[in-house]
Amino acid sequence: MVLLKEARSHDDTRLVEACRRGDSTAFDELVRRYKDRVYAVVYRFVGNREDALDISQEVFVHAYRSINGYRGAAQVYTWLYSIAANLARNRLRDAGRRGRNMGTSLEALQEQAPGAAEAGRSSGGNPRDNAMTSEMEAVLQQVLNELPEHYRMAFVLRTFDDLSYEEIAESMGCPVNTVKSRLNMARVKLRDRLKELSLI
Amino acid sequence: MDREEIREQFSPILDDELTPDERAAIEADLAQDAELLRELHSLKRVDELFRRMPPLHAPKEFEAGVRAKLRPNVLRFPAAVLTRRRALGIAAAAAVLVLVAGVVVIQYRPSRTQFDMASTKYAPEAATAPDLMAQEQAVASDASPEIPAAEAPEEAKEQLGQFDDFQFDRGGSAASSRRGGNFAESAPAAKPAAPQLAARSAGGLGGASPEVERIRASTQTSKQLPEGSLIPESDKVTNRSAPARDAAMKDESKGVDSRKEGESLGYVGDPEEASKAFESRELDAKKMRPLPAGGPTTAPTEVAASEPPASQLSVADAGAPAPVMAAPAPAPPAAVAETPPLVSADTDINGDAVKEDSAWMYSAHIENRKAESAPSTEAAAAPSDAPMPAPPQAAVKDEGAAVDGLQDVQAGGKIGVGVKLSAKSATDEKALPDTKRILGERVFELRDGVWRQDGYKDEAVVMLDRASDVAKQLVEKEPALKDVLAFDKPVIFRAKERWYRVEPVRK
Repeated sequence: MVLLKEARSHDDTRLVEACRRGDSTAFDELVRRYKDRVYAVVYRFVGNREDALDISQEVFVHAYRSINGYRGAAQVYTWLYSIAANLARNRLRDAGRRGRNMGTSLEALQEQAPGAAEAGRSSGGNPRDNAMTSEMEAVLQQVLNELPEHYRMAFVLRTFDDLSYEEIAESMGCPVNTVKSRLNMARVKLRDRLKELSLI
Repeated sequence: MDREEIREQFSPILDDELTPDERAAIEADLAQDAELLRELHSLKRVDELFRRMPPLHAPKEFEAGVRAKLRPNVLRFPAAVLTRRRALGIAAAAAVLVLVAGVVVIQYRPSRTQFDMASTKYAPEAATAPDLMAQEQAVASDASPEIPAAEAPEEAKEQLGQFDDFQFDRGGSAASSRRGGNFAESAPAAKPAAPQLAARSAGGLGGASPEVERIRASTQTSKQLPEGSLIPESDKVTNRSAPARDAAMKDESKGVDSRKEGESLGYVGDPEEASKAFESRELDAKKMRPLPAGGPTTAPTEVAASEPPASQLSVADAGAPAPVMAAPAPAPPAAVAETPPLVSADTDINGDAVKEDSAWMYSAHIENRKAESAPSTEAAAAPSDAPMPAPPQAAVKDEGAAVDGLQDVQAGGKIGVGVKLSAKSATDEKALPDTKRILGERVFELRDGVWRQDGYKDEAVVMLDRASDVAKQLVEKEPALKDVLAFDKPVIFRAKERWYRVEPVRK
């Protein structure tokens, strides 16, 4: 696993170098390699498809523009996540200033369960199970949305992308101990909320 | 390790971020604390719940979107700036356009207020208004030196202000304010036009204008006002409203109304009732005794303002009275129907829910401005401002018919429009120009083929169809308007705080 990560990291560094030289195919490869991860993390963080798509695309646009500023000290994906975290936070703050409501209507809940819908379509499973899964996903996403931003980002990076504490700290630009405490607090808050909802 | 320290290690335990030694130490502590162990399990369930959430994948259009976002930024960044500048320019131009459009809309909106503002702005007479006022005041004070000219009328106007149907004056209007508060001038007497005013004030005889002197002389032989009378001369003679005069004249002229039956213009209302009502209000307001019986009189303003009492100007002096304005005979509906509707004004008398044709109003406004700008030779040539009767024949016929009316006056001493003069003064009317008419309290002057009520200063007008309900309502409120509506030429008159224009009857 570690070897695989190291190999991938080496590969990412080459891709970045190629991008700096103007190799557009290298950037395309970088996008292809990380688009799902970035999109998933951003989606779980912002809670809706439209913003998630836009922000995650912007992540790569920003990465392309600032490719010369990447020094290679961090992993490419942590660099991408740091960009994503900043863009997502800014988007949420803008939405908050505009009074935009990340509603919990049925449509919103369905939108917040794209994974279940996708899984149901692909598996062709029992519609009832799919509906249950979709509903649970929507509820969990809503509970996640209620978390404070810094708790949420740490939890998302850990839970959905399985980043280490060091990587999360890198991505969020904070110490590892802060990540640890944030993750702890995130889990406690989520547990309390899920207990309120009788989900655990 | 206390419980809090153990709790802080829950996440590292769940995330497998502890070294084996650390993990072993914590597991040993947890084995002795069931509560902490339950807590750890609950957190683990939370983690499992979220980790079971289905994985997400970027949409298919993701890469294309990234390329689309990258392309303009990489290749056309300056263009983006230009686009922003262009957008700013377009926005600025749009804002200017909106502003201009707003100004235009406000300027030409078919609102009477707006038109009044516009006409005030461009009114050529505006600059001369103070001069006219001064001239009129001079004339008034000259003509009635013994009467506190400004007191009685103002008081009366205040008390009777609510009886708009029987106005002494068109109080509040620019025209009335221009009259200098002289109550006598609100009477159905000569309402001199500006050139005539100038002539009068310049050529006064012993402080009074020649016209005043002439009328005064003509009334010297009449009965004198009893001494100690409480009735101010001006009131006795002049504060009769058009309905009152009409009713009186009707009584006096039974059987001699020269109006042809078919020429009635659809008068609606009971003028006699109106006369009584007005008289009672009038007297109550002014706290004066009623006029002597048989004394429902009217006379030119100057006559009233100077000396002769009301009784001196009674019907007897005039011989066979000519109830031109009076005796509003019931109008055959056919007469109204014959009148082709010109323009449907549909204007509410009270000014509510007005459906005004802005184009008409504006065209009339422009037309009036043009007319005003052209010097009126007729008015300038007018040798006198004595009342010019407007016989009904003249009202419904062409302009030549006005001469017939004048001939009637000469022959029978009849001065219509509720104004009665002695035979002598009536004879003097021969010299009066046919560019003036007096209907009730209104004085009209013919300029550029349009009869304009005194005081009209190029304001916006409401085109009025004489057969419309609005016209009927106006006549009902003010019977004297019946004859105004029967003018042989376009006429502009004021009613209900508006200026109306009525086109002549089309033969």
